[in-house]
Amino acid sequence: MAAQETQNPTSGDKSDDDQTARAVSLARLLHQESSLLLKLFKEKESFFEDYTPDGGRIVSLSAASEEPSTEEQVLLLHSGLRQCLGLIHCVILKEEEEWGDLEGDYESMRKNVHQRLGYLLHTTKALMENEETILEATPDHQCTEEVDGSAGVFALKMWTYRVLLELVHWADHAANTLYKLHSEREGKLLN
Amino acid sequence: MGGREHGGERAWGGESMGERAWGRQGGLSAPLTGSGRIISCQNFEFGFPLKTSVSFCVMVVGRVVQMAVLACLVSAAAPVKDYVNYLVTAPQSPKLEIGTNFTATCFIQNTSEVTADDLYWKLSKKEIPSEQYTKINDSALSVTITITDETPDWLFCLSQKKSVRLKSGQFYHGIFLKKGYFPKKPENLSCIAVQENRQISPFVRCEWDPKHQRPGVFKTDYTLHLHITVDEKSFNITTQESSAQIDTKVFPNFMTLDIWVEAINDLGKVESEHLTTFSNSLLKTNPPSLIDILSEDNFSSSLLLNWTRPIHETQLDLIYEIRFAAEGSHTWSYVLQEDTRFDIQSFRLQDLRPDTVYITQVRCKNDKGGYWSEWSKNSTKRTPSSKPTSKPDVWYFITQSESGDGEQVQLLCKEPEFPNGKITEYQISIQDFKDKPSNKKVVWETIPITDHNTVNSSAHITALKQIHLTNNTPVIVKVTAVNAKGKSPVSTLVIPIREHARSPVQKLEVYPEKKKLFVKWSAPNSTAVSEYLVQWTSAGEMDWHRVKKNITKISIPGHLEKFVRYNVSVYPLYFVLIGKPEQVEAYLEQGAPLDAPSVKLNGKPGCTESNLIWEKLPQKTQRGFITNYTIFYSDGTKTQSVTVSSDTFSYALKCLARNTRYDVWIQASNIKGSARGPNHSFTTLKYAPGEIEAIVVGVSLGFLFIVFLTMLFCISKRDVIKESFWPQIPNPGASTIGTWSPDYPNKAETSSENCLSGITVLEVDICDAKSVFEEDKACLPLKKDKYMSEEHSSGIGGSSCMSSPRQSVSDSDEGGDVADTTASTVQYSSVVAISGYKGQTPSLPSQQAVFSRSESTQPLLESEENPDILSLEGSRQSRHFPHLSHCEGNSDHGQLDGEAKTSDFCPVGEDSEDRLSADEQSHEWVEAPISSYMPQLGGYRQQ
Repeated sequence: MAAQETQNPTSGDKSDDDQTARAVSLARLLHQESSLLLKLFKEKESFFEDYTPDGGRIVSLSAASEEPSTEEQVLLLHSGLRQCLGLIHCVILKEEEEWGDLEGDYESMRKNVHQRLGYLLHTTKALMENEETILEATPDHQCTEEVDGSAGVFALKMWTYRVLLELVHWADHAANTLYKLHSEREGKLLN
Repeated sequence: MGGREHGGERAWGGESMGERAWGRQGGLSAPLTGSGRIISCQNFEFGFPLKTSVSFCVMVVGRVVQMAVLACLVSAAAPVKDYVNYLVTAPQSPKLEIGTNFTATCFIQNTSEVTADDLYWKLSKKEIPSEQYTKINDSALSVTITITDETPDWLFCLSQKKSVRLKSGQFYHGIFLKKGYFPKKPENLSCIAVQENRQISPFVRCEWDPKHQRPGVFKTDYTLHLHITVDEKSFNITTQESSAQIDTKVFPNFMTLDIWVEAINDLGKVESEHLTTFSNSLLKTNPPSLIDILSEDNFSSSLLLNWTRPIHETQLDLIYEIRFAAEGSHTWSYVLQEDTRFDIQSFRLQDLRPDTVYITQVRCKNDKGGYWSEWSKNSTKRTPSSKPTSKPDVWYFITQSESGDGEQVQLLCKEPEFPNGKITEYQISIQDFKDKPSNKKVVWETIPITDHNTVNSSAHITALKQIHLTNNTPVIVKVTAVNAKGKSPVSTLVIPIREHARSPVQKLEVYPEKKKLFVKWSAPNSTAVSEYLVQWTSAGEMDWHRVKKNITKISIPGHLEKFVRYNVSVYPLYFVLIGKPEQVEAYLEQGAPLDAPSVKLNGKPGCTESNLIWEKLPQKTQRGFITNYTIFYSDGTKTQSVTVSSDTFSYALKCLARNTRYDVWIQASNIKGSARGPNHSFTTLKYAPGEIEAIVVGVSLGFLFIVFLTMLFCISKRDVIKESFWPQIPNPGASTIGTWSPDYPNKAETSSENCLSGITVLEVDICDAKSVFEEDKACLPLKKDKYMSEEHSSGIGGSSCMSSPRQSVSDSDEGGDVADTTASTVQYSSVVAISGYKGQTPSLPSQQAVFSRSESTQPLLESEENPDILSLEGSRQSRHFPHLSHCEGNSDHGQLDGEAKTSDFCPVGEDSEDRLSADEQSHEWVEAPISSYMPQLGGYRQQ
């Protein structure tokens, strides 16, 4: 390291602007990784190549008002992400239960997405938490789906596929929402 | 280290401690330990063992031995359970920091035999001064010491009271001091996370100072902590090295990290400063890849770069840095970072040189901190060509020295500095300086560039053409370079007549420095100088370089070879006119000569000298300025040397030994070393040519000279010689006996050769020749040979019958023969008064007196040695003749005559005897008639 560039890493900027920007970047990274995870899953399970599952969203939230503010949207987002974290956690448990602890690209990316989602949750929590608002960053899912029993492995894969799609959706939603928050906060700072 | 360790050998100081304890107790107490086997008795009451040595006791003599053995036996025989240690030290096993003070206390327990005043402390083997003691009470004594070094030590508490010396082992306790340094605070903490495949590696590697463990017994453990502040997730790892890496499982992009190092050892712990950083600031990605460069014909001075970012954009935002260099250049040009501090993937390089190959590299890093990636691999592309934008560099050199009808000049041309494409040909125009440009239309001659006329391919020098300068008129040379896109501006050069060249530069110096050859000069007197041209040539190579007029020192550009002699010239240029050059030879670096000349003889070797010649060493093998040549020559036993200057190529070796084989070689030297040439052998001559002839001639001349001198001497001293060898004989003519025989006129004419023959004839004729002769033969067989061989002997006086003794002998007949047989003869000389025999006639004064010598060994009579007496003796001899005549007439007398005759030539004894008889008869001789003798002369026969 000493032989390399001598630039010292800069200390992190703890301003709100920086935090929201990082949250946006993190959400984008999560979206990219969850998209990649979905791609890897499709590559692994080729019969999902052209399949579009129906049955609606797994994670569905409704805002308290018809036109929620950005902060409210972020709070909803945080809630949705908690459910997503529970879902991916459950997927990992079920898949490992079904096929053991494998070490492929898919499994590696699955671990990444799981961890990244956790980081994003902690980030949004840090962004939104204040004296009035207490947020949790723990998984919000009981993992009670009956997908590995009578429904068989196929049902597990179908369910996993839907979870991954949900992850991609929520990651994208997170990126957009957080960007909106970032823009608003940045605008406030400029004003 | 527990109590057992403390109670081991080390607790009791080992051998040296035992010896010291023995010494302190004199002969009254046994030592605690010995040099031999150790008996160890352990008392666990205080956790310390007792050790005694029996074998050491045995080694002590006399009473001391007895006492010691007794003490040992008592000690060894004592039951373990009864053993009590009366001293205890505290604290035990302290961990001490070097440089601090340490206080230990020694307690007395279960005894009143000693008090604190009886105690003392030792640190290892050295007693601690009592000034450092503090008496706490009668049973406790403390000591304070400064921990100075990292070596572990024992601190002992002992009793010095004599009464307890016999059981000193019970008044002895120690503390093992472990020493070291407090852990140093880790500093300069830095961490990095590198890219792995398409992701950032989850491993965060950190390093810090110090790089090495501090001395002492305490090893420092470093614990690296990484805390993700938002997530409240922590990671750590412990090591004794100065670096470690933490596995974060998934690298926490876009998170804030808190990283620190905790150093801990037995003395305590200390934390480094916390590194609170944005996680992406630790990243080092791979360099950008797939760099593609596009060149566009319409943009001859630009290139378009495209690349691929090394990692997905969602991972981190990147900024870039671009650098480029023309091929062959050793310096990079960097694109301003203001232009590339965006997450871009293409860039257009501008202001490049046309038709030039550029090497380009790109690197990247996180936009907010982080580490630059390595530079990407080289990507090269040539810019499009355009027409030359600068003039070609025209120069010349004189190929043929000035003669009666001018100079032969070779025109050279170097590519324009900005050829902007491959120069395919030159167009040249040559005009007389006096011609007005308007008078003639410029005629351009095209000279295509080929391998044939390329003088220096690396410097792009082309030989244009040779021209002949005549009429003492300078010429104007105009040249333009042509490539595929067009012509360059015209370059003009005026080649002057040498004598008209302007003043040269001054104080030209050429010297090597920092592996370059520097040229330094002073400006000429003229201020009209527009620029200078530095030209350097070596064997077969030539190049030049123009510099501005305000520069008077340059390092020669381009690659120069070591050990090659360069001829450096500086020309002042007066716009288009050329000044006189100054020239200096120099080396970039000199080396020892590779070889030395072969020495050989010039002609043939001489006796003591030889001429050596050798040729100048080729410049290629000189590798430096030859300072001198050293000639070595050896005769096999001794080697001598002569040093001559570098411009000497012959030498005459002198003072060589004759007829000796010499080996000779030459050594060429420069400032860097020497080289030895091959041996040449020759052998010097024994004699120089003509030396033998000179010696022979010299000796001959010397001999002749000596002979000549001798002759001169003889001639000049002839009177003396004559007097010495031929003394004056009294003239018988003046003798009173001249009246003896007046009639003997014809005898003198009988023989002119043998002047004494008359005497012999007289004898032979008078005597019976035959009988006498035969008697002689019988008596002396060799006589005849002598007669025959020596009659004509030569020598000094050989020509004179008078001067030859041999002649005299032969002439004197038997008398001479007898004398020959005698080793030492005394020559008797007698003068025969021939005239007297001729009749003693006074009327014939012309008859010369004859000098005759006898070789009789008879000693000279006094009268003979004395000239005064000689006349008397001659008278006596002359009286023989009548006797001989008498033999003729009387046979009886013949016998007597024979005896008388023999008496003249026989040995002394007989002669003396005969002489006596002769004397007795002398009176008879006088009475013999002389007349009867004369007629017998005619009967003489030559012997």
